[in-house]
Amino acid sequence: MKQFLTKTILYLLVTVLLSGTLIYLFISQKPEFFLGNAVDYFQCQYQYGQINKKTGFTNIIIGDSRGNASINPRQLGGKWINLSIPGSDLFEGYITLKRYLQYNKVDTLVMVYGMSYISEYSRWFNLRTIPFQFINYSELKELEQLERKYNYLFHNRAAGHATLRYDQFIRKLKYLHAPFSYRETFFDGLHSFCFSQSEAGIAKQKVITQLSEYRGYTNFGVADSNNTNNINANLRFEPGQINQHYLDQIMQLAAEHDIAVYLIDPPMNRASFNSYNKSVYESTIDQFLEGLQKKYPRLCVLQTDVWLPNTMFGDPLHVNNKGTTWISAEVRDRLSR
Amino acid sequence: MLFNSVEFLLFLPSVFILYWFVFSRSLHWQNVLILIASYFFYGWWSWKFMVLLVISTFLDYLYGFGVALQNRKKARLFLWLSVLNNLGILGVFKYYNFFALQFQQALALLGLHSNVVLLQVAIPIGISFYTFHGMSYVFDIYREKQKPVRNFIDYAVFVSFFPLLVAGPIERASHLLPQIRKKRFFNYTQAAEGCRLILWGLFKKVVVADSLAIIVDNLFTHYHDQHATSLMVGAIAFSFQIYGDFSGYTDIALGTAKLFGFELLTNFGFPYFSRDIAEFWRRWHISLSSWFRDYLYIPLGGSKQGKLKAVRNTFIIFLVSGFWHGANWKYIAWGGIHACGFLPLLLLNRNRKYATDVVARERRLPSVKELSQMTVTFAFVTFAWVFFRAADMKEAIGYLKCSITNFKQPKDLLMFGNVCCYVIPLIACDWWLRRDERSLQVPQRIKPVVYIVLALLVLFYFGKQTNFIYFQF
Repeated sequence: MKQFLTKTILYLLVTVLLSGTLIYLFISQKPEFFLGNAVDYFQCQYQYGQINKKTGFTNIIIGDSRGNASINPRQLGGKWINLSIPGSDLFEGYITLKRYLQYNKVDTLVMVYGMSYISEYSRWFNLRTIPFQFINYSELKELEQLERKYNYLFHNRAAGHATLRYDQFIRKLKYLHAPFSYRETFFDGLHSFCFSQSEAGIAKQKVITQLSEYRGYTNFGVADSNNTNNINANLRFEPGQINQHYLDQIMQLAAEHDIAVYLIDPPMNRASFNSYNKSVYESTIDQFLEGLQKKYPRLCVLQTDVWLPNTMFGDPLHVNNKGTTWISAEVRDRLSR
Repeated sequence: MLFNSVEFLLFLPSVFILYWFVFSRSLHWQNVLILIASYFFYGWWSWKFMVLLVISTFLDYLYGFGVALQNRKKARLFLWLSVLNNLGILGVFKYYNFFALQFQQALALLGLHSNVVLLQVAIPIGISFYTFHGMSYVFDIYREKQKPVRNFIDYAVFVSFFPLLVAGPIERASHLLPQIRKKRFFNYTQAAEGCRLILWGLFKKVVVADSLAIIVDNLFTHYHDQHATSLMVGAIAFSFQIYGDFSGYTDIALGTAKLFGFELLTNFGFPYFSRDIAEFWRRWHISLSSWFRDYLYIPLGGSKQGKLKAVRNTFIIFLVSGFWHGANWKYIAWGGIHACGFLPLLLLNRNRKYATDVVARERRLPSVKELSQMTVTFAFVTFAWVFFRAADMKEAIGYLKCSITNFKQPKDLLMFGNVCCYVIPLIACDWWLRRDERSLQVPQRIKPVVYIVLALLVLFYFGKQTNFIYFQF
């Protein structure tokens, strides 16, 4: 029995240690393949780099991927930069502003967030912000305290105190790049590493050229889209408590640094608008935006077009360059008033 | 609880430690522990259906005494009661909805419209397996091959022993009960072999079957849009998916049983190296085929009462075997196709040609003739698997039709490469292992490397926790 147990435990230990070492080596050498999608990694790292350095631009745009796609800062003027991070939220928005202010002065802040991201579950926090380590450890701890206060895992309802703690622990392992937490996706990473290196290299070049040339704007192509982004019209819009907390933080920072703040709900395509128009969802969003305007006198909700034709979309959510030109011009006009 | 779950990884060592370190001195308490562990294992999925398992076990235990009576009339009465009881449980939980719907459709054909009441309950996991365990026990007592067991715990362990409870192998009382009633001692060789089987079974399930499942599911869902060759590759992939899934489960079951000092019946004997359909059925799900042979085919007269009756009996067991898998016409069709494949062999008296030895035992490679025989048999089996995998008959026929007509759709070479990545190593390993009776023995020098590579692969693929296909039966 002793021999059996010793051998079994030895085999198990060797397997676990070996797998851990393998994953650790690959993550440390090629994080773009082993922490998630390579293109996302390059795009996010570029934007993180812009946020953490002196750029000289005093007017900034923050938001999610629709923020990336909707406004071309070159169209707004020489002092504009788009610091939007795909899949991000008001939490990342707050971190962006806080970091950017450490190196730069900000006069105007434009926030572009799809409303669904402010209320619904979004997996991008766990897929990008955490593995790509956008936030530092103390910021993560701060977020955890908030989550415990509201018994609410960022972007997700917690099923109870124990579940919340467990999920936070798993997330922390991912944040710390603990090898075992990337075990299940290791083979996907290895597959990309072996077969998509050249494509990833080309994509990286393309993404970085585009972002640097257009100051953070992402072109979602020229293709027309007739796809519908299905909106559940009977749903009541409810902002997440943590998002509300970070909106407060953003407004506080804006007041401290005397920044003019604008919020834009990016337009949707025609097909989506048909299900959205006169729905419960629409009226609750309107109420929310009106409430914000009253709560924060410094904040101005910029009313752009609620919908644009399908020909201005690259996919159901993101406008193409035609749409960007349109929205950017509209924003420029509104801001100049 | 699934073998490929984290819960089981915690459950198995816990029971193992209690079994060998706490209760090792008393056979009775070891059996009690196994029984509790087995009910816990089953109850983890649904404690409500555990009640059904207890009732079924208790009734068959009682019928065992009834069929052992000297008065054969009374014994026969108890035998029929047991059959009715077991088939009744199966009929209610597994087949009632099917028959009710067929009845409704038949009435509709006559112009009569009725709303039949359907049961809104899931099929209890492993129901077909544990009822068959119970029936084999009662049949063996009736045939005086087995004496009724007095100790209820022993009998309950026979029916509900957790490694075989939910998907077999379907054990025989004469094989397992003596092991349950005999003092067991820890045996290093047996336990090490058990670990090797568990590792190999997990590899087949977690790495091969679950990876192929993603490809197969996609192909069967969108078969209209796939190129014919992709659909053919999809059918082949399913053949290996179900083999990896079910034989993987069996290997884990056999390996787990060995850790507790039990030897279970072999369920697979490299079925895809069969040279004809008769050999395939001697190598695929052996415990079920032999169950039907012993308790249905032979009592019906087998092949001893003339060709016509032999043909009738063959069709009966294949159709019943198909229906055993599920209440759906597609399973009956699957059984029927195999019966048609078996029939020429039966008529030409060639069904026992490859009754014992595995192909090319003394050689490294098969001869051209053997290779072509294996290919033809595999193609036939794969064709039948399409019916088994499809959602219904319509989808099966649609899939087969598209696999000979869809030549305009784009070919998916990447998918083909992916399938090869999983299938070729599995075939190669099976070919290498076919003479070693599943012991997974490898040369001493490379042994640790092979085990660690297998364990690493299992570890990297582990975590999806997909169900075993045979759980639904």
